[in-house]
Amino acid sequence: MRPALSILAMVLWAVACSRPAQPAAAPTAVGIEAVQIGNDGLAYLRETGNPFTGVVRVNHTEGPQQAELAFKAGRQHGRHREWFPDGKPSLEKEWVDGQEEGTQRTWTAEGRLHRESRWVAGKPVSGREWSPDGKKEWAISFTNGVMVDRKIARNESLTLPEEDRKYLWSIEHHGGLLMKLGFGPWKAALKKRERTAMNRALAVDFQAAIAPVDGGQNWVRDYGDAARAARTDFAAQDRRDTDASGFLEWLLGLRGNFGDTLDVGNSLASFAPVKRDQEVGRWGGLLHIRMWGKNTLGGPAELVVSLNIELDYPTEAALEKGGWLRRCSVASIKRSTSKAPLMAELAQQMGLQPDRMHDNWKHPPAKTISNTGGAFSCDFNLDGRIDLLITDPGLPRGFEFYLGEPGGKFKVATTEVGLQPGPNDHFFSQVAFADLDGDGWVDLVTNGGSVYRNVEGRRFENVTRQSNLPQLANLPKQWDATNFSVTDYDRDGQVDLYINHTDSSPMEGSWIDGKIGSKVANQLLRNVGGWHFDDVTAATGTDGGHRSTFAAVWLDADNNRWPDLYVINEYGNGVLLLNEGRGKPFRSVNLADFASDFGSMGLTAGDIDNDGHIDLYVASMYSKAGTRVFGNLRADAYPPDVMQKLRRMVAGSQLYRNAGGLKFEPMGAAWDLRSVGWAYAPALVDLDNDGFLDVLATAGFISRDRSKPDG
Amino acid sequence: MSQPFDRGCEVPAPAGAGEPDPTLGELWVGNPLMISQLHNLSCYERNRAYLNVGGKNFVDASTITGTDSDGDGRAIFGADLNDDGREDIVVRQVGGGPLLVFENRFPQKSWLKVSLRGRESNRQGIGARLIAHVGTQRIVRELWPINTFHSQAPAYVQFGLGSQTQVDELTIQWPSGKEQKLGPIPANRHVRILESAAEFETVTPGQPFKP
Repeated sequence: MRPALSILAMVLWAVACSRPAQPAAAPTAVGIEAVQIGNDGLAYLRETGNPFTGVVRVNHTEGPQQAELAFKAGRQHGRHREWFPDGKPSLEKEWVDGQEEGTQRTWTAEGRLHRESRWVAGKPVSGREWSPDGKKEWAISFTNGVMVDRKIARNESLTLPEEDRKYLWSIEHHGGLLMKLGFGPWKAALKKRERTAMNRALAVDFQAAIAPVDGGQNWVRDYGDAARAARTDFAAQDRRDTDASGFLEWLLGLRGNFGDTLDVGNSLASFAPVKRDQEVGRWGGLLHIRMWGKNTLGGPAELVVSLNIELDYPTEAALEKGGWLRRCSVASIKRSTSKAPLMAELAQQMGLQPDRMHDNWKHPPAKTISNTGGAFSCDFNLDGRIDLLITDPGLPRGFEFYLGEPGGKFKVATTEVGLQPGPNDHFFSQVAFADLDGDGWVDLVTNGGSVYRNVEGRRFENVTRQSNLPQLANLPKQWDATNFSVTDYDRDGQVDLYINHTDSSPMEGSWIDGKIGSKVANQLLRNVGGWHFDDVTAATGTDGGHRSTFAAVWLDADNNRWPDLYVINEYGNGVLLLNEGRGKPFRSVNLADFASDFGSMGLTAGDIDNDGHIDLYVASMYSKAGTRVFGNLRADAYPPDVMQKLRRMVAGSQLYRNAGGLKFEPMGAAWDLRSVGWAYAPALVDLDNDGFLDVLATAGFISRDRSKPDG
Repeated sequence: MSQPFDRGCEVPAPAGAGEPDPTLGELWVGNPLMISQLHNLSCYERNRAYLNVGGKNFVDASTITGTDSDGDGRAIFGADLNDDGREDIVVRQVGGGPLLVFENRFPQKSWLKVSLRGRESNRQGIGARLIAHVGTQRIVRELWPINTFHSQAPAYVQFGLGSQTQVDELTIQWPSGKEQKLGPIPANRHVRILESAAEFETVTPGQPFKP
């Protein structure tokens, strides 16, 4: 909020004149035409040239009064009021010797109070603002007259009762206390092997259920002396009861797998009072303790122990007193160790140039970019080596092309291959390599709207003018073209393109209905030769349902040899579009008959279990805090379908195992693939060449400060 | 605690909750869409690597692979960048290292890389299904240059063969509808297969071949 300039003052300034010489008595009320503003900022009576004292009245052009302002010796002093043409008040404030003082109020044309602020010596110090319907209220604060904060103070349109909101906040608050004052010191003691300090947290009657590290359902990848990774899930029959001494011995024994270079972290996956209406009673949850560091060989190692816990009401006093942890029961243990890292980061050594690229962590928050570009591979010159195109706003042209060289090295070849940016290619983030003219050499399209022909692996030639692609896909105006998927959907021998579009319209729509009123639709473009395409979206029914979609993959989901399409959805379930043959519309199928995905940013497809059916892995949002909060909502807080949609918002990534017959089983939880975080893009890669595809996934949205809470 | 029905809604902190205590991990922002403007949002989350346990489950190998950057990860794909038969990893991030390339140092196992050249089908064989019979194992892969979030993977198929020395039989179901069988094909090489041809050609990295 900034100090409001009155209509009158603006008018008077526009007719400013020199300061007259003789002071004289002023009339008590005049029209606006009777006064003018001098170069010194004072109001003068035109007739006498004297500083004005009295009231100025301004009328709307239609006649009714618009404003009334009081002056004393040329300065505004006293009440200042303004009205709408229908006579309702629009503004009210007070002046003292030319400075705004006291309370100011503005109203909407409908007569609702819109804003109220307090002024001292011409500067606002605090304020409140209301929505047009009066149901929302914001508190505004100022420092030296500048607004520094505006936060919601009341929202009557909320559907979650205040009592429920307090309950959820209280749980999170006590969870924070527990992690700071309880498990914080506890993990430090575990790191230092301080058994006495660890014991201090345990109640006199502490009980535990523990198990040998391999004493449950084991899943193992063993590489002999080189490495081993395993997960053990424990059932009731695998565990044995023990006391505090036995528990600490067991846990410190697990910790003993590490040397002294150990880090310990912990987190709460779930947490709440055991009985909802007994906040002061017993609490329970699932605690992950993560230990990582060097093993005895100096290689990396990690151990994650998941414990079901029970404890007393975690107040500050109780936690500092000790004896608050009542029971621990081991749920699972993940462990991995290797003689040396199984992969090594070598981008710089390979000749790629990450130091030239934009890195949010090296820039102030104002320069944060949520998506900086991508990495795209091809074999440009058919030499059997991978070549790379990297897009990034930090690179001089907004991109760089690298040719693969022996030993995994790369050389910059952007100029060599004649890849000059088109007029709108200064920063394109999306490209695809595809042999669009069928000559065996991969060509290039960009979401900047350029089309480049690969001339026999020697150079790129800009053929944009010969192509209707930019017009057909509304490139580059439609900057929301977020993905090109290469396919031959009609199996006619010419490569086609599927283009994803997003329309985030961030403040519109609902979080849970799967759509946000997107105005754009995805496009399937059929290659008809000569760099021309037909838009077959409507004929094939492949627009993706006007969802906000970042990516899509092609796969043969039903083994009928026709490429099918899975399109993810930023705000809900994706959709599987089944290709039923040339000339026929695609058939829409849901992978799940419940609200399953949310926040999907990327996906991939492959036969995970080598059963001949192509599976799908969808990268979606996972949040421990979100899982706790939604998990602690009253079961009937919202209708069941809304509750399901809320839970999916934080449930994480999903692996849909294709069981054949268009049956897809969500295996993410059972296979421990859900809790990646804010997942963006997955990849299925057979890292260890054992014939089974492994899963890689990126995660994280915006990191600003390690010392600050995570939103 | 946002409003599920209204993305534009701002929500006040519960009455009497007091000021958020950052040392307890607390902050309050009225609308989640505004969190990332000033605060962390899903911050310092590690990228992950999960190893497939025979198609029956997965185990977390993020730490021991060293791929678990806690930067703000975005795009990722696998590609054999140094032609040693092991798939390396390319990662794009918006913070914490914009480009990471991980060289694969897993213990060496057998492999076969297959590129296609279509005649009736599109020239790269995009959309083909490849079925490798390796000992008692049957491995099904499809050839797509997977385009997912801001990335494109290579247009070839990599078969991991474990301790096997050859693919006994390779069936290619071409987009044209043709089906082609070859084999045995010795392991540890990159081959290119021409649609309807009886033989395959071996690709030697650095030696260009005809389109």
